[in-house]
Amino acid sequence: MRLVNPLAFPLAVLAAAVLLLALRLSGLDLWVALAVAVLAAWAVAPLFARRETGMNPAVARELEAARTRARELAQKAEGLYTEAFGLLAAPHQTEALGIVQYACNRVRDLPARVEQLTARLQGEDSLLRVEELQAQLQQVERRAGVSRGGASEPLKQLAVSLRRNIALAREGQDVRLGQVTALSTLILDIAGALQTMQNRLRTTDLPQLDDLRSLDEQLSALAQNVELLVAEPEPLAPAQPRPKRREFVISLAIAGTALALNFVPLPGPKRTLVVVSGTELAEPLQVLGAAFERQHPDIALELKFQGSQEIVNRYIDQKDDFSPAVLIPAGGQFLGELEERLRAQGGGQAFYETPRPVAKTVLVAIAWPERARVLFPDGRFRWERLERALAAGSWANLGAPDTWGSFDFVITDPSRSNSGQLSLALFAADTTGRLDAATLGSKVVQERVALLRRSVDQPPRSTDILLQEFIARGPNDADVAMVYESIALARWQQSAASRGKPYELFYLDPTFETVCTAALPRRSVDSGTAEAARTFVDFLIEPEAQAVFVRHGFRPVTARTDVASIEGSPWRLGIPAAQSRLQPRVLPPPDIAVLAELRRLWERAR
Amino acid sequence: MSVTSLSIKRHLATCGILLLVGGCGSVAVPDAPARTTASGLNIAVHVGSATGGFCRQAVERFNATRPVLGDGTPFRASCTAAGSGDVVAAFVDLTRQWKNGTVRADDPRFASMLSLDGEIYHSQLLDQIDQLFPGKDYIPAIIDAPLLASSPMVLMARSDLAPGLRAQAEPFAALAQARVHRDLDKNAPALPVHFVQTAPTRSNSGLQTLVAEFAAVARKRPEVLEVQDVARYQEQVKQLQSKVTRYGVSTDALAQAMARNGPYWASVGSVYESSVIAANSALPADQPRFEAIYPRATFTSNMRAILPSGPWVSPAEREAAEQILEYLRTPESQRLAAEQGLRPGVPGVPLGEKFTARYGVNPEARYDSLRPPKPAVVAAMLDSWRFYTKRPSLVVLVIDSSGSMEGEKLPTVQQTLQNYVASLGPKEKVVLIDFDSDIQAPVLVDASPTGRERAERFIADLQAQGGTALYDAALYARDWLRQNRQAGAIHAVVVLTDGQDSASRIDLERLRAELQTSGFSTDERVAFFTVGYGKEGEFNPQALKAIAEYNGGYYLQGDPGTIRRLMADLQVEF
Repeated sequence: MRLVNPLAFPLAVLAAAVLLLALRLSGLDLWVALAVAVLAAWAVAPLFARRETGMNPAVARELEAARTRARELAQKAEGLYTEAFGLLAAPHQTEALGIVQYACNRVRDLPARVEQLTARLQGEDSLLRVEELQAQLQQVERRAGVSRGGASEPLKQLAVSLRRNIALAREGQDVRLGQVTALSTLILDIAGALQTMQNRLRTTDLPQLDDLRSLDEQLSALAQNVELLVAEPEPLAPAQPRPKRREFVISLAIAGTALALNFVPLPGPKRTLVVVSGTELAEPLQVLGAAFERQHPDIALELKFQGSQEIVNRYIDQKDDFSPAVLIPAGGQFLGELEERLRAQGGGQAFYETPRPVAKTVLVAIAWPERARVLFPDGRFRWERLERALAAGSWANLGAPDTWGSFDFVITDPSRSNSGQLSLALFAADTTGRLDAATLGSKVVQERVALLRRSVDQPPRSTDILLQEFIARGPNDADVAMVYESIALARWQQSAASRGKPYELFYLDPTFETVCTAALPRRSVDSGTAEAARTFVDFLIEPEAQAVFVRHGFRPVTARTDVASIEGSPWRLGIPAAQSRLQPRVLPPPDIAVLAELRRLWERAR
Repeated sequence: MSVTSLSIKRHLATCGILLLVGGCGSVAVPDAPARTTASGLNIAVHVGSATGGFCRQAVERFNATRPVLGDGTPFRASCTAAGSGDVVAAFVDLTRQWKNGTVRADDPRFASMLSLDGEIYHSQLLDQIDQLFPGKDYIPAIIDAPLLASSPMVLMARSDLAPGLRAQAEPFAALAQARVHRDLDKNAPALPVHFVQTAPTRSNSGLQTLVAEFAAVARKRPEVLEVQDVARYQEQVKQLQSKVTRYGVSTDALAQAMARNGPYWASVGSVYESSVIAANSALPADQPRFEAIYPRATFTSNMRAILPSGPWVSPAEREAAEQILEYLRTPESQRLAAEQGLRPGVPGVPLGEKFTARYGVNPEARYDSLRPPKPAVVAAMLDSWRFYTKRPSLVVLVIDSSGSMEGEKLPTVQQTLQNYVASLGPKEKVVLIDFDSDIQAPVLVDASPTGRERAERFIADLQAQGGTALYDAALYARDWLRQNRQAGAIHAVVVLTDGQDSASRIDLERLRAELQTSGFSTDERVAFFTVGYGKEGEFNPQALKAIAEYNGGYYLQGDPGTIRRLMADLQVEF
C-alpha cells in the first residue's frame, strides 16, 4: 500500500480525531493516544484515496464491454492480417497487402486505447470539465474541416457526441458514460469497416485497390477519432491547479480541534473518583463532595466509608471491588502502615505525592448525664474510675440504681478502627504515662486490655456508627463511649432530639490528635484520574471547605482559625464543656509499631 | 431429659421449625415475583413480624419515588413479614438447597434484604450460614448491620395488674410462683395468672422471652449461660410455661387477643413495647388500658437491616438493597417507625406522641439490656422448650367430610392433616374426628410412631359423602375434651368445614350456650378455632366467627391454596 498524506483526506483526519478522543476518554496517556491516532490517520488515508478513484458502475460496465469488443476486434484484425498474407501473395498484390496490414495494425491498437481511456476516466472529477470537452470538440471540428470522403462522417458523429456531453457537463452531470459510449460507437464503426474489408478480400478475386484505400481511410479516420477521444486534449488555456488546498485546510482544522479538545477538560462522560474515607468524615465529605461536583462537572465522586484500619487492610488485601483514587484514613500513621506493608509485598511507590492533612480532631469521651454524675463526680474523665466501673460490671456495684443494669462502655473495634486503637493506647498509657515497649509488655497493661476486651460488647467498625447507635439505643445499651470531638459536637443536638437530654462531653487529658490525611494511591489509578484526585484534595483544603469541616466539628488544618468564629460552628451552640481552644495536652498519634502491638494485645485477649 | 440427649435431637428441632412452615427440606415461603421483569428489578425484603407494618408503609413510599439504579434500571421493593424464626429457617433452607444444586442463585425466593426482630435470631442466622459456608461471611456481623428500629420486650398487663408486676425484681420468676395476681400485689384482683407468649421456634419475641426466662431463673446474664444451665434451670421455666394460655407466631396478634378476650383468657403477655402501643391504640376509649412493665433486665430487640452478600444477590440487587436501606433510615421513614410504636434506629428522630403513658409506655424506661446467648445455648433452649418446658396441648381437630368436600378439597385437607401430624412435637396431642351427617369415633394421635400410624389410617379413610352436622360435631368435640382432660395441657378444638350446618340436632344458640360453660371464664378453658374452607357463601362465616370468638379463639378462612400454611400457623398456637 502506497503512503498517502492524510491531510488530503479530511474524512481520514476526522476518523483519527474521533479515535484520539475515544482513547483519551478511556484514560490512555495523552502522548500515547496522540501517536496511535497519527498512525491511524496514515493507515486509513490510502483507503480514502482508493475510494476517490472509484467509478460509476454504469461507466465501468460500459468500459468493460468496450474492452471486450476491442479485444475481439484486435483478434479479428490479427486473423485478417494472417489471412491477407495467404490471399494477397502475388507480387502485384503487395500494395493491397500493405493497405490491409496498416488497417489491421490500427485495429490491433484498440485495446490499448480503451485502457488509456479507462485510466483517464479514473477519479470523480476526470474529464468532467467543460473546457476539456470543448478543446476536444475544437480539434474534432478542425479535422472535420480538412477531411474528405469516408473520414469526414465519423468526425461529424464524434462532434455530435462531444456536443451532447458538453451540454450534460454544463448541467453538472457525469459525462464519462457519454465518453465511453462514443468510444464504443467508434469501435463498432471500426468493426464494420474491418468486416467490409474482410468481405472484400474473400468475395472478390482481386480486391480493388480503391476500395481498399477507401476502407483504410475510413479505418484511419475512425482510429484518429479514437485517439482524439482518449488522448489528453490540447490545452486551450493554461491548466488550473487541482483545488486540494481546501481539503488541507479542513483537515488541519479537524486535527487542531481534536488536539485542543485533548488539552481542555471534555464535557460528556465524567471521570469517576472513588474516595475511601474513615466514617468520621462521612457527613462533611458528603456536603463537600456535592459542592465539588458542582464546581467540577467533569468529575463524579463515589464516596466510600470504612474504619481507618479497615481502609489499610482492605486496600492491601485488595478486598474491594473498586480502585480508590483518594484514601482519607483518620491519621497519617495508617498511610505510613499502608506504605510499609505494600513495600514489604514488593510494591513500588504507594502514592503519587506526599499525603496531605485535610481536617483534624481529638478523642473525647461522652456519657449520659445521670451516669456521668456517678462515674465522674468531679466532672473530669479519669481512666481509673472507668477501670473500676469495668471491673464492677454493673451499676449496682457502683452504688447506682439496679435498673441501670450492667456498665456498658463502648469503643470501636481496635482491629478495624482508629478511635478504638487510640482509646486502647490512652488506657494503656495511663498506667505509666508512656507508650513504650516496657509499658505495653507490663502485666498491668495486659490486664487492662483484657478487662476492656471482656467488657466491650460488639465493638463497631467505625466511630460514627458507634455514636449513632449510642444515641439511638440510649443509656440502656451504652453508658460511656469514646468518640471524636468532631462527631460528638456535630451529633450533640441529635442526642437531645432522640433522648430529651443530650450526652455530656469529656475531654481526655492527655488526648490524641487525629489528623485525617488524604493520599493519592498509585495502584490502578492513571495519571488523569490522579490529577482529578489532586484537584479534589486541593479543594478540601481551601478555606471554604475547611469552614465546612468546622461546621461538622472538625478543626481546620490550614490556618489558626478560631473555630468558634465560623458561622454554623458547633462551638457556638453552647454545648457544655465544649472547648474551642483545646486545653488538654495533645499527643501525636502513636507510631505504627505501638499500634500493631496494641492490636495484638487486643486480639490475644479475645 | 438431659441436655446431652436434647442436643442430639437438635437437628430434629431444626427440622421441626422447617416443618412448621412447610416441611423439612423445603420451607414454604410466600410466592415471590420474578426477580427481573420487563418493568425492572423486584427486590425482596423479608422482615420479622414486628417490623412488617413499618416495612410495608416505608417501602410503599419508597416505590412511589420510582427508584432506579445508577445505570438507570428501574426497580421496586416488596416487603414480606413472617416470624423471625420463619425468616431465618426459610433463608437457611434456600441457601442449603442452593448449595446442593436444587435451586438456582436467581431463585425469586431469595431476599436481598432481611430484618429480624432481634439479635438472637440474627446470631442464629450467622451461625447456621457460617456452618453451611464456613469463612464466607455471607451474613454481616450484628454490629455491621445498620439499625432500623428497636422495641424492648415488656410484660403487658391491664393497669390494675401492672403495679404488682412492676414491683417484682424478677417478674418471670415471680409469675412462675404466683397462682393469682393478688399473690404479687395485695391490692390486685384475685385473677388467676394466665400468660401468653409466642412460640420461640418461630417468633423472635417468643425466643427472647424464653431466653429472658432462663436468665431470670438462673440469675445469670444470657451471654454467660452455658448449655448445661439449660438443663439445670428448665424445671423452673417449665413452671412458668405451665401458665401459658396460648402460644402463637404474631406478637401483635397475641396483644390484640389479650385486649379482645379479657384477663381471664390471659392476664400477662410477653410482647414488644410496640405491641402495647398497638393494643392501646385499637382499644375503645371506655375500656381499661394496658401498660408496659419493663423487667429489670430485658431485650432491646434491635431490628437491623441485613444485606446478605452471597452469590444469590447480584450486584444490581445489592445496589438496590442499599438504596432501600438508605431510605428506611431517613428521618421521614424513621418517623413512620415511631408512629408504629417502634423506637427509631437513627439519631435525631424524636419518639413522638405514641411514647407516652396514654399508650401505656414509658419513653424513659430504664432496664438492663440483655445480650444474645451463645448460639449453642439458644439451640439447647429451643430443644428444651419443644421437648420439655413447653406447655402440652390436647387439640381436637374436627374434620368435615361431607359430600361437598369432593374434588380438590378433600385431597388438600388430607395433605394438610399429614403435615400437621408430621409436625407434632412430643408435648402435643391431637384427636381427629371425622364428621358428615354422622360423627365418627375420635382417633387419638401423638408424635409416637403408633400415633402417626393411626393418623395415617384416619386420613386415608376420609371420604366425601353425606350432610354437615357441624354444631353437633363441635359440641361432641368439646364433650370429648371434657371427659378426657389432660392435666396441665392447653385444650382446644379446631373445626374445619366447607359448608353450612345441615344435619345437626342442635342450633347455633344452643351450641353457644353449651360452649360458654367450658370457656375461658371457667376452669375448663377450652378454646375454639374455626376454619371456613372453600368459597364464602357455601359455609356460614358469621356462625363460625361466633363459635370461635366467644371461646377465646379465632376464625380463619382458607382454600386449597392457603389451607396448608394456615393450619401450620394455627398449630403454633398450641
